[in-house]
Amino acid sequence: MFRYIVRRLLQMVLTFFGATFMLFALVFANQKDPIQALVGERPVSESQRIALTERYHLDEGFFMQYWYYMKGLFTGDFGTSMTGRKNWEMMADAWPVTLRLALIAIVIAATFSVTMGVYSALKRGGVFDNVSLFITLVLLAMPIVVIAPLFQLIFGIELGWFPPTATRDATVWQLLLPAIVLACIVIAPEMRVTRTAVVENLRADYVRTARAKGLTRTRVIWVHVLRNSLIPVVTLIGVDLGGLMAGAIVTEHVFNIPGVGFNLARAIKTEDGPLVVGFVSILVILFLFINLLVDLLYAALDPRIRYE
Amino acid sequence: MDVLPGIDPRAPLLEVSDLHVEFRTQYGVAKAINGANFWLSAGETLAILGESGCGKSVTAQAIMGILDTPPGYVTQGQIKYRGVDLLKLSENERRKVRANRIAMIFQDALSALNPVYTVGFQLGEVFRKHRGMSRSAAKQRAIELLDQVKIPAARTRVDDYPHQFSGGMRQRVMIAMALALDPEVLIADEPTTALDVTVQAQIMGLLADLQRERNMGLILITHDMGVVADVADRISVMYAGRVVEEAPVYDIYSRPAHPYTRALLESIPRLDMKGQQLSVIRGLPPVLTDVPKGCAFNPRCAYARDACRQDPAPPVYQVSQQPHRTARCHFFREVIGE
Ligand SMILES: Nc1ncnc2c1ncn2[C@@H]1O[C@H](COP(=O)(O)OP(=O)(O)OP(=O)(O)O)[C@@H](O)[C@H]1O
Ligand code: SF4
Ligand SMILES: [Mg+2]
Repeated sequence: MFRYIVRRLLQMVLTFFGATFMLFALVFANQKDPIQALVGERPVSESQRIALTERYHLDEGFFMQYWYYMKGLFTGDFGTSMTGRKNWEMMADAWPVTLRLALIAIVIAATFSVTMGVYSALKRGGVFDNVSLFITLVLLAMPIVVIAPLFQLIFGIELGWFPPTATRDATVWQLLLPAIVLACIVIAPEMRVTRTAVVENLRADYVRTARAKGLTRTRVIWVHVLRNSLIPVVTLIGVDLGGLMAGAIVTEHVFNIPGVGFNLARAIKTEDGPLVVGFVSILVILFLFINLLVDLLYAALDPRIRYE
Repeated sequence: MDVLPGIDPRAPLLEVSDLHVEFRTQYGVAKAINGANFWLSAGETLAILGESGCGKSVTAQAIMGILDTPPGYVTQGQIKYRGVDLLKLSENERRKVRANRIAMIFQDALSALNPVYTVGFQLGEVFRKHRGMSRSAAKQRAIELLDQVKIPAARTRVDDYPHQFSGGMRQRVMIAMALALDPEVLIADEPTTALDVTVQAQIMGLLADLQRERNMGLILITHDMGVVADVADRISVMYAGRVVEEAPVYDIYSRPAHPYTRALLESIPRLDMKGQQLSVIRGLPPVLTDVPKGCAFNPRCAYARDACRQDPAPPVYQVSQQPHRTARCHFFREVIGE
C-alpha cells in the first residue's frame, strides 16, 4: 500500500508538470497583447510598456517564462496578477468560498444519488424508478448554462425560497441553491450507476448467503449490498470532480459568487495570464490529490485491490 | 433463542410435501418444482440427485425461504420443521429459523462470501445479530469456529478476506458459518463441485464428522452419484421438479425402480467397464415452461408407452414398505424386476 502511494505521488508530480506546461502554452500562445488587454482602451505609454514587460518577463521566450513561474511557485511566490494584486491574495479570497460550494454540492449529490439509486434498484420497474429515470434524462440533457439561470429565476427570484446571490463570506444557506445547481450535473450519472450496481449486487451469491444467515433485509441491503455497490460510485464521484470544477465557473458567474470560477472567468476574459495559470495550477494540484484520495477510498472499500 | 410456537420435538425433523414453486418471468411461467416430497430425520443424510436444472437448488432455497421473489413463488405445499409449517410463518419468524434451525452452504464459496468483509466479520455477524454478542465476543467465537473446521492459524486468518483463502478453506469457512448456531438441519448445495478431487474428499469428510458429532440432519444436493454412495443414507432422485424415486442408498444402487435412476446409474464411469462406451442419457431435460404431458420423462424413457403420455403424471407409488421406497413410474415393477 505504501509503495502504491509513493508510486502515485511520483506520477502526480509528472502529471502536474505536464498539465501546467500545457496550460502555460495555451494561455501564452493565445495572448495577442496582454499589456493592452490589461489597461483596457487607454493608450499605453512606452515607459509603462517597458516596465510591465520586464515585470512579467514578456520579452523572454516561452520556456523561460515557464521556468520563472515554476521557480516562483516553489518558493511560495504565486506571481502577480496583471491587475497588480498578488495572486495568492486573490486566491486566498476565492478558494474558501469555492471549496465550500463544491463540498456542499458533493454532499448533496452523493446523498441524493445513493439513496435514490438504492431505492430505484429495490423498486425497479415501479413508478419511482420510471419517474426518476425520466428526471435524470432531463437533467442529463440540460446543460448547466440553462439550469443555473433557470433555478435562480424559479427558486431564487420567483418563489423566493433561496437567496438568489451569494457573497464572499457566503453562509451555507446562501450557497445552497448554487450547490444544488452544481449537484445537478453529477446526480444523474451517479444515481444511474448506483442503481445499476445495486441491481447487479442484489443478484450476487453473497446476498443469498447473507439472507440464509437470517439477517434482516435492511441489514442485507445497507451493509452487504451497499458496500459493494459503492465501489463504482466512488470512482465516478472522483471523475465527476472535473465536471464540478467546470460547472463552478458558470454557477459562480450566474450567482455572483466571488470564487475561483468567477475569478478564473474574469482572468480569461482580461487575458490575465499569470492569474489564470495561478488558479489553474492550484486546481490541478487539488484535482490530483482528490483523485489520489478517491483511489485510496476505493482501496479501502475493496480489499481485493488493497492486497494486490 | 426464540421459541417457535407450535414446535413439537417428536415430529419429524423436516418434511416437505407436495411442494410447488414457479418462476413468473416475462417469457411465461416456469414450473420449477411440481410436487416434491421428501423427509429428513435427525442424524440422517439425504442426498438429492438430479441433472442440472431439475430444481435441486430451488427446492433448497424454498426450504430456507430465500427464493428470489419475484420472480419465484411457492404456490402450493408444506415445509414442516418439527411439525411447524414454515410457509405459514411471518417473515420475521422465518428469518429466525434460518441459521438457528436450518442452515445452508453453497456451491461456490468464493462468490457466496461477501468479498469486502473479513471472514471474521461475516462469521461474527451471525452471533452479533442472532445472539446479541459484542464485536469482540463474536470474533472470539469466530476463531473457535474456524478452529473447529480445521483452518490452521485461525487467530490470524480471522482477519483475512475471502479472496485470501484457497477454495477448500473458503468452503470450510462457509461450513463454519452455517454451523455457528448449531442448526438441526444443514442443506449443502453441491458443496464440493467447485473443488479439486482431493479437496472434495476432505470437505465431505469434514461434513460427515461434524454431522455425526452434532446428530444433524443433512441434505446433500449433488449430481455426482459417486459422492452419494459413500455418505448418504437415503436418496431422492429429482426430475423436472419432482422426486421420481426415493429409497435407501443400497437399494437404489442395487435395484433402481425408476428408469431415470437406472439411466443415471449407467452413466457413472466404473473401473470394471473400462474401454466400454459410457452410457449417457439420451435427449435433453424438458423446458420448464413446456413440460411433456403425463410422465415428464417419457420422451427419453426406454420403457415409455401410451399410458405414460397421458395426464395425470404418475402418482407416488409405494415400491416397498420395508425399507420404505417410492417411485413415480407406472411400470416400476418391470424396471425393478430386471
Ligand atoms: N431466479 C430464477 N429466475 C427464473 N428461473 C429460475 C430462477 N432460479 C431457478 N430458475 C429455474 O428453475 C429451474 C431449476 O433450477 P435449479 O437451480 O433448482 O436447478 P438445479 O437442479 O440446482 O441445477 P444445477 O445442478 O445446475 O445447480 C431451472 O430451470 C431454472 O431455469
Ligand atoms: S412412467 Fe413411463 S415414461 Fe415415465 S418413467 Fe415410467 S415408464 Fe418411463
Ligand atoms: Mg443448483
